[in-house]
Amino acid sequence: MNALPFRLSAGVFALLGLTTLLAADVPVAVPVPTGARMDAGELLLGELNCVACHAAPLEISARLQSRTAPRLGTEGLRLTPQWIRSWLSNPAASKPGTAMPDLLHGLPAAEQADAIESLTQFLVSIQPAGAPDAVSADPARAAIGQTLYHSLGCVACHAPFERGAASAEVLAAATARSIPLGDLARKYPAGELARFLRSPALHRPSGRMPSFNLTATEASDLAVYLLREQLAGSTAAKSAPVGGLKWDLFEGEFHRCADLARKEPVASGTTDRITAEPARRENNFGLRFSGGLEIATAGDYTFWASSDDGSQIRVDDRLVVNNDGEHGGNTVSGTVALTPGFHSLEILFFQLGGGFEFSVEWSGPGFQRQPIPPGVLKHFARPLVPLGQGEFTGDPARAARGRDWFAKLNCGACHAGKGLPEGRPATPLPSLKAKATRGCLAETVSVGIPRYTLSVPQRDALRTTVAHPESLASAPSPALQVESTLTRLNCYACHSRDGLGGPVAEGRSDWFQVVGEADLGDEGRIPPALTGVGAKLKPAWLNQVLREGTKVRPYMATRMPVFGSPALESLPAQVRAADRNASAPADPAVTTRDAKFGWKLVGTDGLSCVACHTFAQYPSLGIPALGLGTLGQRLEWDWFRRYLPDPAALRPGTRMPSFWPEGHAVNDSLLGGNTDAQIQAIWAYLAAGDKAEVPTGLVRGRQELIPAGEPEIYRNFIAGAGSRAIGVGYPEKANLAFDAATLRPALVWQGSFMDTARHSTGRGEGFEPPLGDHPVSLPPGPPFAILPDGDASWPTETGTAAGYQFSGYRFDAKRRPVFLYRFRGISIEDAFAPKPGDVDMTFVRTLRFTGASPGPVWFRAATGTVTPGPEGTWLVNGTLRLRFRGGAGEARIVQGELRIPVAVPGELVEEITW
Amino acid sequence: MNPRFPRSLHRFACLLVPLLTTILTAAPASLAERESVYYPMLTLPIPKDIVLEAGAIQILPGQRLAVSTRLGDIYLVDGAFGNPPDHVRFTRFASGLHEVLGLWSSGDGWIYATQRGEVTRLRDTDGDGRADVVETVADGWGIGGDYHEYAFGSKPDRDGNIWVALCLTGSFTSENLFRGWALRITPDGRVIPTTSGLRSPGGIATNSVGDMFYTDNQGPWNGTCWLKPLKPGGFVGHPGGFKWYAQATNLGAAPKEPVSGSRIAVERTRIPEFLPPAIAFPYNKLGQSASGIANDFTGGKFGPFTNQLFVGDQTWSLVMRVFLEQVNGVYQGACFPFREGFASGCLSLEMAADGSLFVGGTDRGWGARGGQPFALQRLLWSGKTPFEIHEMRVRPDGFELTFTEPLDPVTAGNPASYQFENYTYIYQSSYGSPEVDKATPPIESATVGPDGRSVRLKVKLTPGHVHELKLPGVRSKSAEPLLHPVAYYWLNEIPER
Repeated sequence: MNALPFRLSAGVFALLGLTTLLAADVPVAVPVPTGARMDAGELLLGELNCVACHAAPLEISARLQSRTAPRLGTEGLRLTPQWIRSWLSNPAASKPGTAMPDLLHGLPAAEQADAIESLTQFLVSIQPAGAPDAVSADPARAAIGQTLYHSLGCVACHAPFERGAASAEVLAAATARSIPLGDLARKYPAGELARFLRSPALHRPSGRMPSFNLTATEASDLAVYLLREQLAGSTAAKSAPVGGLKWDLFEGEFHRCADLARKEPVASGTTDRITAEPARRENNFGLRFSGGLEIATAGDYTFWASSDDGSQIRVDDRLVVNNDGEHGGNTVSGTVALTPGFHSLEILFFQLGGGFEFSVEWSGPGFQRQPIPPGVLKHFARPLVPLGQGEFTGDPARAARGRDWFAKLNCGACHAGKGLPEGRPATPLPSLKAKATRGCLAETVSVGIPRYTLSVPQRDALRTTVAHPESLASAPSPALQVESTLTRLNCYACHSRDGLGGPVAEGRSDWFQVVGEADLGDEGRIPPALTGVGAKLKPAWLNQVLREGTKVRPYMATRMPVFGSPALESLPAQVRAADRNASAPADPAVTTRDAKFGWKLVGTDGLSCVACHTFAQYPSLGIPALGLGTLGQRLEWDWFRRYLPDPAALRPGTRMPSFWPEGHAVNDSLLGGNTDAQIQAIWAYLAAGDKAEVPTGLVRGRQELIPAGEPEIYRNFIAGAGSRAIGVGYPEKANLAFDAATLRPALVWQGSFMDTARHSTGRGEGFEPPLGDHPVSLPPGPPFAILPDGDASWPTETGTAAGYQFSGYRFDAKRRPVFLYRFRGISIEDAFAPKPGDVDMTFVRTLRFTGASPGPVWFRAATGTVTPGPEGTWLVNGTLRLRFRGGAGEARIVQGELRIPVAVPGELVEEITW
Repeated sequence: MNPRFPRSLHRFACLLVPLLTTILTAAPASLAERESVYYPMLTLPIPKDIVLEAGAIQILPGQRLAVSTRLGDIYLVDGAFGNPPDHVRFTRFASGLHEVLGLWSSGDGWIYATQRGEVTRLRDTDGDGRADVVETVADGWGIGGDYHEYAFGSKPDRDGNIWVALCLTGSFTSENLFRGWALRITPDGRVIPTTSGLRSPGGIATNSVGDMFYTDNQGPWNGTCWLKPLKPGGFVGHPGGFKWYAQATNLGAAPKEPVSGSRIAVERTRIPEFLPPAIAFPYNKLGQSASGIANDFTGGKFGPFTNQLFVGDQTWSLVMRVFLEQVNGVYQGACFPFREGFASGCLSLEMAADGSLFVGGTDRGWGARGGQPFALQRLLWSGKTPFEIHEMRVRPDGFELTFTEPLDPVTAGNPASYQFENYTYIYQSSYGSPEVDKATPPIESATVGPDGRSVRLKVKLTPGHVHELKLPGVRSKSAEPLLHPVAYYWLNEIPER
């Protein structure tokens, strides 16, 4: 037990202390935020579900919100017999920290063995019919699952297995303060774990384990990761139909589906959804999905493929849908008759460039056109096999004896399930007063009495509360009720409230991540504090969040999960009672005129809220702060009106500034600078949600930079010309982008010059491609080389590393820039003059060399496919025509490159026509 | 002067308010309005076709300005000193440059501009008012296409070097050469790697004695926004750029890695190169994104704050005031609110010899209180002296404050007129920090000096903490409260005497 020293010092469990335990005993894991005010005994009464045997009056059992044991039977899970055996023989050893008591302690060995084997037979006999879904032993799935596990929120409660940004000490402390997972690889067939992860409350109805609204693929990926110890042993397993389709990603320019067959996949994996998601890129890729369909009903099945560009669907090797070729979005369908059983399926799709669309649907006997559901998609692969898997033969007689044991041990008091023997009551809780140090809470627990693994402080806390049941009689304050619920469901793992809990205090904040590069600080990754939440959120919204989860903060990697706990039904009312100011004003009566002013205030003509906040589908002009469209649905007026003048007072540390410092409006031109009127106007406007008129400034139009009369310069991030690009647009409708880092013209194009909108709105992120047409890339790499032997290999180093130095440019009489740079003692002037043809465009480029060269200088004019053309021209890649004057000698083709010797001092004229 | 509230009307209203409160609900004057009595603001009209997101400002001879923009233009501005500014004229000197955040004129016809990728100098050779030569002075740093990779350029230091403060690639890492460093560019274009540890600069300038400072912003390794000194060989807090010590052959090996979760006061004893910040601008108390810096070198033309620094805040659209002192050779000092109510997010600040503070603004990409997408404004001193803390110096057992006006000895000498607390920030690799390690030691005594304009406060000092002093009860001899009754002193060192 390597982690034991940390377990013993675990802060989160400190309240319940662990000091006098035997080394092998880890007490029941009950997370408690440091500084909790609620009674530890009361907490444990609920978390150990004491009232399952020791009945309590309704008002007590209601406040305990007891954590019930997993359901068994048809509502249970198909757990392996090998795990059930080891579990029953010693629950605390199988899963240190478990709340399951040992019921067989002290029995004679033979009797104990009989109970374990009989109960195992019984529990397996009542499991749901059918086999668990097979899941492929695919390390790629485990890798995806690993990322999910460490980003979705699993590690808010369970132990992280990777350190991320945390130090080794922080990781060790977090591990010690985690809800145990137990021996999952022995316990679960993968499909069964995935089933549990998608709907935990079905099997564990008190909702301590929440649902993260996982897709079938996510649940399988997570299951494969959690069962990764099964991967090694599964290499020997026989191939079988496993869930999902195999996908293969191809990169390159494809023009027909058949082209995919000529390439090797660059990545592969498994998925339950037929989408282009595995591509993770926009252009020049192909995808193949392969596997089969598990058909239950015979009949005609129709398939649809909607795609831009091409796609095909094959069933049983027959081409059913042919939507091949380069084209815009369209849909093609085909029908095939299928018998029950397995039918092979192959779907091909490729995307070249431009528009994009890809979806596959089907219809069949008794159902309309829809996406193919995950359950019927299969492919042949080696399935994951639980550890310790062996032959198991059902023995009805033994199972019947197991049923007797189940009744005798009173398992049914805690474990519910259809048709299971029900539990028997023990002494009711209020009557246990004098027996508080006996029974389950005795120093040494007698044979036949459930033995819980309790630390001494845990046992003492329980004894005290049991001895004083009157302490449970008076109704707790709303604040304490809220604390109780948040503690029992471990909401404090993610949210702080009134100084308790939260990822920072709980030492787990390193695992809370932001999605992508959103520059939102901790607000982008740490779930919001719940201090005052009852005064902040509307009850209807809070109810919805608790029932369905939410994703209003798309930049946050973790998700608000769904607990499915009955305890949460009363939470909205409790937080409202605890937090709401009784004298809060009623919602203001607002007019459409108010809303109109609100619209102005929110947009760039007002306070420019959209500089940071997104609205409906429109990204903000800066950081992706919370969408404004959800605000009217979520927030209470009283909170909103107090928040806006002083955001940091209600949300300490927020980056949201006040636009009404000390109550004075900074914008005095709208509504007379009246603070209350402005705030009310914004409220009125946002009440319409995403359907409100889009605020000004959000919709980015094209901002074309048009060279009129003389050239325009555009130094910025230009796609294809680097981060130090110098775009030059000439009034002749010829354009070039010179790369000042590698000292070469990188791109030429015709027509319109640049759209500057990307760089002149928001933060100006990213590279902007040319706006016009016929873009042609010029040779990459160093343009010049000093080569004693003109046939030598061309060097690869560029820029300063290769001896280049950019010196700037000067404008000639026509305001055309002449680029100036140096290369190893040679000064170079590089001038471009556009010469329009009828359809072609030509740059007459004059390179003037001065200074002295340390050796023969060569200019590399072209790479790729170079062939001599008419009248001394060179044709390059079918896109460019080059012609030269000057230079120190004949051009030559070396290793597919066009090289020109250069005279220093001297001049070289290059005509670039495209 | 706030055009919506002429001073005469303001007085009128003040006189009448006691009489009229029952019939009118006259709001008390906002802070900006009260400040405008002493420091009126003029807004320069900008032609409709010009987007003047002013990245840097340079005063030129002949009452002229050069203003560079984030979109890459440099404008020459005539008539900027007019009051009212109704004859302002813009001429485009250059365009198509890459986000110019540093501007200087050498006086011999060259204008130096710091672009994202290089320091450039430009010159008009044919007298048509437009640059014809665009020369690269130095480009010895990397730029990869991440929008965070800004470059702020200073005016030359006493040796003629322009300092360039380079933002990291994003918040956390340095993906390209010398991101997260300050470099010196010599007059002949050499690049000298100078100081590491920068995160996200917002401005760079010298103080009154020519030492270089820059502002850095709340984020990883920065619990709040700061004014930090820059010195050769120093490290100012963010280890993201350590890998470039290998390229900084003039310097030694990289400093020791700081320990995340520690405190500045602890780490500066561990890491010899650590230059502690000089000023903390407490987040959400005084601004949220510190930006441009201007030194009042005007010898009184801008009011009583000669040789103090003025620092912009982009989010809050305001200008703060900074008093610096050196204790045991280490810079530290106090910041105060100074003037709010600017039209856009303050980015560039430039002091003119006549006592004008020009402030350029933008709210693109980062929202700002001002609400205007961009602005160019001029702050003037009205000639009236506000009742303010003038200087705040640390003493072995507390602070000595001087004031701009004679004090009421009764209120100023009463410890109950003051509120005091100190706190610091976690020095950590994750974003920002709450205020931590708070303490509220009592003010043991408040002694008015014999000059009647200063106070000695005896109070426990804590190195590495913000000492936040509020003075709600202090009155001037003429019974006025302070215009800004708060000061934030960042303490690195306690003097022995």
